[in-house]
Amino acid sequence: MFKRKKKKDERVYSDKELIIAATAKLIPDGLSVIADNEMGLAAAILAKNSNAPRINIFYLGESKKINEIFPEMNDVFTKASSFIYNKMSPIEALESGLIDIGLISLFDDGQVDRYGNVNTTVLGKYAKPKKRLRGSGFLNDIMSLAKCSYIMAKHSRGVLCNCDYLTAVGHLKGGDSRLKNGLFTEGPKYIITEKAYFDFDPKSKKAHLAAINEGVTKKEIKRNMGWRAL
Amino acid sequence: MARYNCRMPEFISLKKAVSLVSDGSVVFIGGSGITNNPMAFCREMIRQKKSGIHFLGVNAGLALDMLASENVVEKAEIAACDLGAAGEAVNFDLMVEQQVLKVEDYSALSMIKRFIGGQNGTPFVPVKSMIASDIEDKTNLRPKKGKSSLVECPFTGESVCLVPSINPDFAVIYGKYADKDGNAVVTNLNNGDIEGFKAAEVKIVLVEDVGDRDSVKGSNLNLKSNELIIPSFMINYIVRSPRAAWPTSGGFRHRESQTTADGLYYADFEHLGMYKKMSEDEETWQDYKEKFILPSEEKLNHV
Repeated sequence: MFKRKKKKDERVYSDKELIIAATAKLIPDGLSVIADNEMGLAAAILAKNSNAPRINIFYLGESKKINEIFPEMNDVFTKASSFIYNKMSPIEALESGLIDIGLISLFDDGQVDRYGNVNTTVLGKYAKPKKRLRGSGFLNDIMSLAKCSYIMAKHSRGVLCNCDYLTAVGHLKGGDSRLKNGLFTEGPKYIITEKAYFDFDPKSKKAHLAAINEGVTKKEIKRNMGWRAL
Repeated sequence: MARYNCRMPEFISLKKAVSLVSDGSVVFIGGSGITNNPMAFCREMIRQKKSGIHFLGVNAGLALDMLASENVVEKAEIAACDLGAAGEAVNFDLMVEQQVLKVEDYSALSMIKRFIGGQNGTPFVPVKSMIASDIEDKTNLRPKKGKSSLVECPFTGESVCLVPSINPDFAVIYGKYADKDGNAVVTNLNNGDIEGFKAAEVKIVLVEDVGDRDSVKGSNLNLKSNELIIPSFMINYIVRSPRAAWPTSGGFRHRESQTTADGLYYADFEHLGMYKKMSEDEETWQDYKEKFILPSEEKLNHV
């Protein structure tokens, strides 16, 4: 096989690719997955082609190259209604509780706090925003109605910090506060970044550092975060 | 409740269709991100200098971005606004940060449900998302209790979020083609286009082409899974406007050539990149406006 020489400091994969690969690995086989933008879709497709060939993929976003990957979609790059093998609309599936995993990606515009709450609406005050972001879209619906959700985010101080605005509820204030407020689904399960991934402590529901990528030190992880992981 | 007219829709010109929309009316504009936005209609709105429009949308995109930059839109009730694969909506973000444009945020599902409520004639609709988030209680536009309300279900005791139904004055969506009877074929994107359209008082469809009498009926069996027929009695006005969705993606497929997608066009990423760059500066924006918005649609299609 052709072998490529690697230089020590040269990175082979981009941050997005690392996150997508890590997320795909965490998807168990046989479940239904929903994604709301391209990064989530890429992770789902990668999982389907490797470790989880029997997952159903629902898609609620737009994509640049979707019709090249799936020729049956060779229409406009639509927000595929009945994407891939399902004739059911993703909204219908979401509402009736058929979705097991919601893949949420906010890469670098957004905030995630230690309880898995997400902000993609504004930075700063809501009435006088410093920076306006995308808004909720289907994000809130996916996080409230899918059985559990995986959050894909960039590992930086600007992203992993306290939320200025609660666009979607994760574990709210920890403990059983999510359940008490009337959300009966499990909530976020992992926060996945390009350096590591976090799961949630079953009792306190605080983020817990579960695994670190190769070549990354613990110091590096701690330095680039706004909150402390268990 | 939305009323249907039991007669043929009228075929009118783009100019006339836009002139129906009075300043300050509530307008639903379909499409999402950079897919199927009725851009021709938005450009004509800027040409006719509309103002004070109350914009409704679900995952709004280039349409809202362009209208916001020219101060056509005063208020917006949306779930999200970005340019999909082309990145963030620069003009929209700027206008919100400068507090020129007031935005009321909902989640996409609750926005779609609000239209369904408007279509059915119920004053509110229950949703199971939005609970406990800031979308539920922080408001910009509506009075504090007018946005949503968290209640306990009288039967099971579960907490549900109620959102008010809404009926737009006008709904404009982008369709693929229509026949002479006034039936139209649109792409069902699951983005609330159909729901918002059905809830409106005056319903306008922009189509790429108008075919023969049987072209929609006959294609019934050959429709793709994401194509949908809107029957003529649900439509008030049909506007024929080729490449109406450009620079977002759109297009249609001739009945004769089902294997080749000749009528389709993808989002023009080169143009969108230029659009974003030129909207950063006031001078370059005026250049853009003169080149790509103010000329009539016929001239733009040759560009």
